[in-house]
Amino acid sequence: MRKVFIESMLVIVGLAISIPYIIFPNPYLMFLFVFVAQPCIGVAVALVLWEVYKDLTSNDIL
Amino acid sequence: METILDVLAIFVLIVEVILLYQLRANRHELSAKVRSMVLFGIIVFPLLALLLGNYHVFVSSKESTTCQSCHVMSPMANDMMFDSHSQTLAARHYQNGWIAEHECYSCHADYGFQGTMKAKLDGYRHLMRYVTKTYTEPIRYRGEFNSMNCYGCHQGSRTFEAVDEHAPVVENLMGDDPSISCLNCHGRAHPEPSKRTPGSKEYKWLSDPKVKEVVNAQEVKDYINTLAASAEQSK
Repeated sequence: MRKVFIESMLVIVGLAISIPYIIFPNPYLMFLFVFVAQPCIGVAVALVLWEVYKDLTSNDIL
Repeated sequence: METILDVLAIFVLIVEVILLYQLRANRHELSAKVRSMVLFGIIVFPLLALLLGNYHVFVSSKESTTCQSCHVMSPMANDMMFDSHSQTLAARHYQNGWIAEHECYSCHADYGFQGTMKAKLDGYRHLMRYVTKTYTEPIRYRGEFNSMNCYGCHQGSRTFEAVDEHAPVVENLMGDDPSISCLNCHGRAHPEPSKRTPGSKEYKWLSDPKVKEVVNAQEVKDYINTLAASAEQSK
Protein backbone atom coordinates (compact mmCIF):
# COMPACT_ATOMS: atom_id res chain seq x y z
CA MET A 1 0.00 0.00 0.00
CA ARG A 2 1.49 3.32 -1.00
CA LYS A 3 1.46 6.33 1.23
CA VAL A 4 -1.99 7.85 1.61
CA PHE A 5 -1.01 11.49 1.15
CA ILE A 6 -3.52 12.33 -1.58
CA GLU A 7 -6.30 10.53 0.23
CA SER A 8 -5.49 12.41 3.45
CA MET A 9 -5.56 15.75 1.65
CA LEU A 10 -8.91 14.91 0.05
CA VAL A 11 -10.31 13.90 3.43
CA ILE A 12 -9.03 17.12 5.02
CA VAL A 13 -10.72 19.21 2.30
CA GLY A 14 -13.91 17.18 2.64
CA LEU A 15 -14.04 17.49 6.40
CA ALA A 16 -13.09 21.17 6.34
CA ILE A 17 -16.37 21.72 4.49
CA SER A 18 -18.54 18.99 6.05
CA ILE A 19 -18.00 19.85 9.72
CA PRO A 20 -18.83 23.59 9.38
CA TYR A 21 -21.86 22.62 7.26
CA ILE A 22 -23.14 20.22 9.94
CA ILE A 23 -22.74 22.86 12.66
CA PHE A 24 -23.77 25.98 10.69
CA PRO A 25 -25.89 24.80 7.73
CA ASN A 26 -26.45 27.48 5.08
CA PRO A 27 -26.90 27.49 1.28
CA TYR A 28 -23.25 28.23 0.49
CA LEU A 29 -21.87 25.47 2.71
CA MET A 30 -24.58 23.16 1.40
CA PHE A 31 -23.37 23.87 -2.13
CA LEU A 32 -19.75 23.16 -1.14
CA PHE A 33 -20.79 20.04 0.76
CA VAL A 34 -22.81 18.63 -2.13
CA PHE A 35 -20.45 19.52 -4.97
CA VAL A 36 -16.98 19.50 -3.33
CA ALA A 37 -16.85 17.69 0.03
CA GLN A 38 -18.81 14.61 -0.99
CA PRO A 39 -16.79 13.98 -4.18
CA CYS A 40 -13.51 14.57 -2.27
CA ILE A 41 -14.33 12.03 0.44
CA GLY A 42 -15.81 9.64 -2.11
CA VAL A 43 -12.64 9.75 -4.21
CA ALA A 44 -10.45 9.33 -1.09
CA VAL A 45 -12.40 6.24 0.01
CA ALA A 46 -12.31 4.81 -3.53
CA LEU A 47 -8.53 5.36 -3.80
CA VAL A 48 -7.89 3.64 -0.47
CA LEU A 49 -10.11 0.70 -1.42
CA TRP A 50 -8.30 0.48 -4.77
CA GLU A 51 -4.94 0.36 -2.97
CA VAL A 52 -6.25 -2.34 -0.64
CA TYR A 53 -7.48 -4.35 -3.62
CA LYS A 54 -4.12 -3.97 -5.39
CA ASP A 55 -2.32 -4.97 -2.18
CA LEU A 56 -4.45 -8.07 -1.77
CA THR A 57 -4.11 -9.18 -5.40
CA SER A 58 -0.31 -8.63 -5.41
CA ASN A 59 -0.05 -10.90 -2.38
CA ASP A 60 -2.26 -13.53 -4.03
CA ILE A 61 -4.86 -13.21 -1.33
CA LEU A 62 -7.57 -12.30 -3.83
CA MET B 1 -31.24 16.38 17.41
CA GLU B 2 -29.26 19.35 16.13
CA THR B 3 -27.16 19.43 19.31
CA ILE B 4 -26.36 15.72 19.01
CA LEU B 5 -25.27 16.30 15.41
CA ASP B 6 -23.07 19.23 16.43
CA VAL B 7 -21.44 17.20 19.20
CA LEU B 8 -20.91 14.26 16.84
CA ALA B 9 -19.41 16.57 14.21
CA ILE B 10 -16.94 18.03 16.71
CA PHE B 11 -16.11 14.52 17.91
CA VAL B 12 -15.43 13.40 14.33
CA LEU B 13 -13.25 16.46 13.78
CA ILE B 14 -11.15 15.86 16.91
CA VAL B 15 -10.71 12.13 16.24
CA GLU B 16 -9.88 12.83 12.60
CA VAL B 17 -7.21 15.40 13.49
CA ILE B 18 -5.60 12.94 15.93
CA LEU B 19 -5.79 10.05 13.44
CA LEU B 20 -4.33 12.00 10.53
CA TYR B 21 -1.56 13.40 12.72
CA GLN B 22 -0.71 9.91 13.95
CA LEU B 23 -0.92 8.57 10.41
CA ARG B 24 1.55 11.21 9.25
CA ALA B 25 3.94 10.35 12.08
CA ASN B 26 3.78 6.58 11.34
CA ARG B 27 3.48 6.73 7.57
CA HIS B 28 6.82 5.02 6.85
CA GLU B 29 5.85 1.60 8.18
CA LEU B 30 2.80 -0.36 7.14
CA SER B 31 1.94 -1.90 10.49
CA ALA B 32 -1.45 -3.11 11.63
CA LYS B 33 -1.81 0.12 13.60
CA VAL B 34 -1.29 2.21 10.46
CA ARG B 35 -3.77 0.07 8.53
CA SER B 36 -6.41 0.56 11.20
CA MET B 37 -5.69 4.31 11.24
CA VAL B 38 -6.23 4.40 7.47
CA LEU B 39 -9.46 2.44 7.90
CA PHE B 40 -10.87 4.80 10.52
CA GLY B 41 -9.17 8.04 9.42
CA ILE B 42 -9.86 7.86 5.70
CA ILE B 43 -12.87 5.60 5.44
CA VAL B 44 -15.01 5.29 8.59
CA PHE B 45 -14.97 8.81 10.09
CA PRO B 46 -15.13 10.73 6.78
CA LEU B 47 -18.10 8.56 5.79
CA LEU B 48 -19.69 9.33 9.17
CA ALA B 49 -19.20 13.05 8.45
CA LEU B 50 -20.89 12.55 5.06
CA LEU B 51 -23.76 10.77 6.77
CA LEU B 52 -24.23 13.66 9.20
CA GLY B 53 -24.00 16.19 6.37
CA ASN B 54 -26.55 14.29 4.35
CA TYR B 55 -28.86 14.34 7.34
CA HIS B 56 -28.95 18.12 6.91
CA VAL B 57 -29.38 17.85 3.15
CA PHE B 58 -32.30 15.44 3.35
CA VAL B 59 -33.90 15.94 6.77
CA SER B 60 -33.14 19.44 8.06
CA SER B 61 -33.92 20.90 4.64
CA LYS B 62 -37.57 20.11 5.33
CA GLU B 63 -37.61 22.95 7.89
CA SER B 64 -39.20 26.19 6.67
CA THR B 65 -36.29 28.16 8.15
CA THR B 66 -33.98 26.29 5.76
CA CYS B 67 -36.02 27.53 2.79
CA GLN B 68 -35.99 30.99 4.34
CA SER B 69 -32.20 31.00 4.60
CA CYS B 70 -31.91 31.67 0.85
CA HIS B 71 -32.38 35.39 0.11
CA VAL B 72 -34.38 34.58 -2.98
CA MET B 73 -37.04 32.84 -0.87
CA SER B 74 -37.46 35.80 1.51
CA PRO B 75 -40.56 37.27 -0.17
CA MET B 76 -42.38 33.92 0.09
CA ALA B 77 -41.18 33.18 3.61
CA ASN B 78 -41.83 36.66 5.01
CA ASP B 79 -45.28 36.78 3.48
CA MET B 80 -46.05 33.37 4.94
CA MET B 81 -44.59 34.00 8.38
CA PHE B 82 -44.97 37.69 9.15
CA ASP B 83 -47.66 39.35 7.04
CA SER B 84 -50.71 39.04 9.25
CA HIS B 85 -52.90 40.62 6.53
CA SER B 86 -51.77 38.26 3.78
CA GLN B 87 -54.47 36.14 2.19
CA THR B 88 -52.10 33.82 0.32
CA LEU B 89 -52.65 30.13 0.90
CA ALA B 90 -49.20 29.75 2.40
CA ALA B 91 -49.76 32.55 4.93
CA ARG B 92 -53.22 31.28 5.89
CA HIS B 93 -51.95 27.76 6.43
CA TYR B 94 -48.88 28.88 8.36
CA GLN B 95 -50.37 31.58 10.54
CA ASN B 96 -53.45 29.56 11.45
CA GLY B 97 -51.27 26.62 12.41
CA TRP B 98 -53.01 24.32 9.93
CA ILE B 99 -49.71 22.59 9.27
CA ALA B 100 -47.97 21.41 12.40
CA GLU B 101 -44.41 21.32 11.07
CA HIS B 102 -42.35 21.46 7.86
CA GLU B 103 -44.74 24.04 6.41
CA CYS B 104 -42.93 24.56 3.08
CA TYR B 105 -42.19 20.89 2.61
CA SER B 106 -45.76 19.80 3.39
CA CYS B 107 -47.02 21.54 0.25
CA HIS B 108 -43.87 21.03 -1.81
CA ALA B 109 -43.39 17.41 -0.80
CA ASP B 110 -42.29 16.47 -4.30
CA TYR B 111 -39.59 19.14 -4.51
CA GLY B 112 -35.84 19.02 -4.25
CA PHE B 113 -33.74 16.47 -2.45
CA GLN B 114 -36.79 14.66 -1.08
CA GLY B 115 -38.59 14.07 -4.34
CA THR B 116 -38.13 12.14 -7.56
CA MET B 117 -34.88 12.17 -9.54
CA LYS B 118 -36.13 15.10 -11.63
CA ALA B 119 -37.05 16.98 -8.45
CA LYS B 120 -33.63 16.24 -6.98
CA LEU B 121 -31.94 17.56 -10.11
CA ASP B 122 -34.14 20.66 -9.88
CA GLY B 123 -33.02 21.08 -6.27
CA TYR B 124 -29.36 20.87 -7.31
CA ARG B 125 -29.97 23.30 -10.16
CA HIS B 126 -31.65 25.81 -7.83
CA LEU B 127 -28.80 25.50 -5.32
CA MET B 128 -26.25 26.05 -8.09
CA ARG B 129 -28.12 29.04 -9.50
CA TYR B 130 -28.57 30.60 -6.06
CA VAL B 131 -24.91 30.29 -5.09
CA THR B 132 -23.66 31.50 -8.47
CA LYS B 133 -26.30 34.26 -8.45
CA THR B 134 -27.48 33.34 -11.93
CA TYR B 135 -31.15 33.98 -11.25
CA THR B 136 -33.44 36.93 -11.74
CA GLU B 137 -36.18 38.07 -9.43
CA PRO B 138 -39.06 37.49 -9.30
CA ILE B 139 -38.41 33.78 -9.48
CA ARG B 140 -41.06 31.71 -11.20
CA TYR B 141 -42.01 28.08 -10.77
CA ARG B 142 -41.07 26.25 -13.95
CA GLY B 143 -43.32 23.24 -13.59
CA GLU B 144 -46.90 22.88 -12.45
CA PHE B 145 -47.84 22.60 -8.81
CA ASN B 146 -49.09 19.13 -8.03
CA SER B 147 -52.49 19.57 -6.40
CA MET B 148 -52.31 16.02 -5.06
CA ASN B 149 -49.99 17.51 -2.43
CA CYS B 150 -53.01 19.42 -1.09
CA TYR B 151 -55.17 16.35 -1.31
CA GLY B 152 -52.67 14.38 0.78
CA CYS B 153 -53.68 16.41 3.85
CA HIS B 154 -57.27 17.37 2.97
CA GLN B 155 -58.36 13.92 1.88
CA GLY B 156 -60.99 12.56 4.24
CA SER B 157 -61.35 15.75 6.29
CA ARG B 158 -64.99 16.52 7.11
CA THR B 159 -64.86 20.12 5.88
CA PHE B 160 -63.30 19.05 2.59
CA GLU B 161 -65.73 16.21 1.95
CA ALA B 162 -68.69 18.44 2.84
CA VAL B 163 -68.11 20.60 -0.25
CA ASP B 164 -69.84 18.83 -3.15
CA GLU B 165 -67.78 20.74 -5.72
CA HIS B 166 -64.65 18.93 -4.53
CA ALA B 167 -65.82 15.53 -5.84
CA PRO B 168 -65.37 16.24 -9.58
CA VAL B 169 -62.12 18.07 -8.84
CA VAL B 170 -60.70 15.04 -7.04
CA GLU B 171 -61.84 12.83 -9.91
CA ASN B 172 -60.06 15.14 -12.34
CA LEU B 173 -56.90 15.26 -10.25
CA MET B 174 -56.77 11.49 -10.07
CA GLY B 175 -57.16 11.15 -13.82
CA ASP B 176 -54.31 10.68 -16.27
CA ASP B 177 -54.33 14.28 -17.45
CA PRO B 178 -55.52 16.58 -14.64
CA SER B 179 -56.62 20.00 -15.87
CA ILE B 180 -57.73 21.56 -12.58
CA SER B 181 -55.59 23.02 -9.82
CA CYS B 182 -56.69 23.77 -6.27
CA LEU B 183 -55.25 27.25 -6.87
CA ASN B 184 -57.95 27.89 -9.53
CA CYS B 185 -60.53 28.39 -6.77
CA HIS B 186 -58.50 28.99 -3.64
CA GLY B 187 -56.24 31.78 -4.84
CA ARG B 188 -52.54 32.32 -4.92
CA ALA B 189 -50.16 30.28 -2.80
CA HIS B 190 -47.57 33.06 -2.61
CA PRO B 191 -47.42 36.80 -3.41
CA GLU B 192 -47.82 37.59 -7.09
CA PRO B 193 -44.62 38.20 -9.11
CA SER B 194 -45.28 41.96 -9.31
CA LYS B 195 -44.93 42.20 -5.53
CA ARG B 196 -41.75 40.13 -5.61
CA THR B 197 -40.10 42.31 -8.24
CA PRO B 198 -37.20 44.42 -6.95
CA GLY B 199 -38.25 48.07 -6.87
CA SER B 200 -41.92 47.40 -6.23
CA LYS B 201 -43.58 48.89 -3.16
CA GLU B 202 -44.09 45.56 -1.41
CA TYR B 203 -40.70 44.10 -2.30
CA LYS B 204 -38.77 46.03 0.34
CA TRP B 205 -40.91 44.70 3.15
CA LEU B 206 -41.18 41.21 1.72
CA SER B 207 -37.44 40.84 1.31
CA ASP B 208 -36.46 42.46 4.60
CA PRO B 209 -37.90 40.57 7.57
CA LYS B 210 -38.89 42.54 10.64
CA VAL B 211 -37.44 39.85 12.85
CA LYS B 212 -33.79 39.90 11.88
CA GLU B 213 -32.86 36.43 12.97
CA VAL B 214 -35.24 33.53 12.94
CA VAL B 215 -33.90 30.65 14.96
CA ASN B 216 -36.68 28.13 14.46
CA ALA B 217 -40.26 27.81 13.32
CA GLN B 218 -41.61 27.77 16.88
CA GLU B 219 -40.02 31.15 17.59
CA VAL B 220 -41.67 32.55 14.48
CA LYS B 221 -45.04 31.23 15.62
CA ASP B 222 -44.51 32.73 19.07
CA TYR B 223 -43.63 36.03 17.42
CA ILE B 224 -46.84 35.95 15.37
CA ASN B 225 -48.87 35.15 18.48
CA THR B 226 -47.27 38.14 20.20
CA LEU B 227 -48.23 40.34 17.27
CA ALA B 228 -51.81 39.06 17.36
CA ALA B 229 -52.07 39.59 21.12
CA SER B 230 -50.73 43.15 20.90
CA ALA B 231 -53.12 43.90 18.03
CA GLU B 232 -56.06 42.72 20.14
CA GLN B 233 -54.93 44.78 23.12
CA SER B 234 -54.72 47.90 21.00
CA LYS B 235 -58.36 47.53 19.87
